[in-house]
Amino acid sequence: MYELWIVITAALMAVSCALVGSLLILRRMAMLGDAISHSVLLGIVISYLLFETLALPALLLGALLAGLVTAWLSTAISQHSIIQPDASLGLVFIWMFALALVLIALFADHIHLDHHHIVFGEMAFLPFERWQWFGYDLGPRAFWTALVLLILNLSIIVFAFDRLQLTSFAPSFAISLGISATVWHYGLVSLVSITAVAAFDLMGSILVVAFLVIPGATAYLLSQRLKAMLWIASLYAIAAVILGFGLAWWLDTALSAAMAVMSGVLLIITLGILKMRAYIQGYQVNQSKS
Amino acid sequence: MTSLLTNANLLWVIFGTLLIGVSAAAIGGLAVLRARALIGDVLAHAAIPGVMIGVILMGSLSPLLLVTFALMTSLIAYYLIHQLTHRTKLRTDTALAIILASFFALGMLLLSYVQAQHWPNTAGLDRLLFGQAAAITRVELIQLLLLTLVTLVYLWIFFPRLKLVLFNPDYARSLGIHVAREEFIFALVLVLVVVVGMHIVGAILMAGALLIPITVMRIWPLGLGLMLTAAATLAAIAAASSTLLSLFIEQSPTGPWMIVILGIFFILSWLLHLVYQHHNRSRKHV
Repeated sequence: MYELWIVITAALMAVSCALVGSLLILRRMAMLGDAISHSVLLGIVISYLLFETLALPALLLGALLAGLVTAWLSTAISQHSIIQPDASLGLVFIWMFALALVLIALFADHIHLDHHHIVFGEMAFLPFERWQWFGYDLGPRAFWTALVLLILNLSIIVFAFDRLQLTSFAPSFAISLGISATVWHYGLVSLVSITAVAAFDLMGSILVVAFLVIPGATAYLLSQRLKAMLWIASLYAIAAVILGFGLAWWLDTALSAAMAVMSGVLLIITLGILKMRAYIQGYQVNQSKS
Repeated sequence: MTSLLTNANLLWVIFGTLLIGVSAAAIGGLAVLRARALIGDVLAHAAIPGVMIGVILMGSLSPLLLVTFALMTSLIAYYLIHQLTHRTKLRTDTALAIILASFFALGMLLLSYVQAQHWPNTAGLDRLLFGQAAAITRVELIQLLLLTLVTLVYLWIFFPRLKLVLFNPDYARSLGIHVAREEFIFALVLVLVVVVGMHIVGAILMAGALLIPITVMRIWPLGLGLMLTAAATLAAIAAASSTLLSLFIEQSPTGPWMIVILGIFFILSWLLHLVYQHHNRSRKHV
């Protein structure tokens, strides 16, 4: 039963990441997940220094603000200067990370930052933190967080599908129709940073960084339409979660790392099959010519 | 204070950060201008599985050994990025993110495997990976710095040819230059700088040292040689002042200070450029 909760929660989170991640890839912002995973440290450190507490809500708020600042500031710099989007993203997140390290060294040398928790998450323990409501046991709290996050992402993507599609593929056409490409761009990067920060706490940064890009990229290779891409990315994410759970079971390693590795393995298999198919097709064409 | 300033170790530290900063700015500048801004970030993460494989196969934490293994996986990552962008329809940023995530995940999988085995001699591993390798000895520092010096000399000598190979490969090929070989040497040197720097200042900060100096200068319309020289000079200033800062303010680390100072340079450069643009525009209207 505990295993089932873990797999279901991880799958919900993975689908959330895969959905917003697919949209990021289309906008050439695939590195945003990695960037936010580093810059949230600044938010955490500042909220610790301001409120002098290690309570989770304060730290999450700080992390969320830092994620939003990363996304907004890097977009603003690249739009108002000659700097490329990826360079401005790197500039912002690396600077925020370095500033966080300086602040820790100066003012908070005594706090213990648990790298292990940040990178791996505490996925194996999430079924034990239950959500009680009038004495009823409603299941793990993480499950409900993941479900709410997925519903949020899904409803925004379903309701705004046309606009997201138009602003991703043809921003100038969208602008000519009176749809603000900028507003949707900022909206999407905000959605990504909300998803990423919520998922960091549950799943660890490694899983988030991997699932924001790898399922989406695999789906991008296979599909011609955005709707198909989103479906395929979700299926790949779920498959990677299940296979990763098996791998972690087999090798006795961290769940999040194993799931992330399996998403990469699925990408390699897909690439192999595509190359093989292209090769066989080319071979058949050559045969029919001769 | 005077005893600190006359300390021989301090000279090495200043010399070391200067060399790392300057070589990272120079070679990183070339990589960044080829639309691979976050290559340093990716290569640094890709070094982690190499370090882990080294630990699993050899069972020791000697820096030179780990640098060798890290070099190998980072080179594989560089090659895979090249292949992904040229052979599939994936764009550069997606390819970079895929390689970063997969290699980092693999590294973390191996790390959790090693930690589950409870082997001896792997206690300092966590600290090594997350960039607090302040415990590096002087002999090792000297070895690593020699590698960096080689990089700078290489860049100095081969700059004209490198410019052609990186930015106009077709023309370079028509001149009879072996482009694939030159490209490999460039990748090797880039990876070397990243891996060596990573052991000294930490992974993410190394990515910053590659990226930020050239980004500061990129705002201004300069030629390639001048731009790289200016970026390297900025990096040198930042390196020297960060070493002094970390000396005057107790317990503050050198690497993060360097990035923070470079970031301030960027803000100044951007503001200056905005003023310059505004000035020019208003003059045109008159």
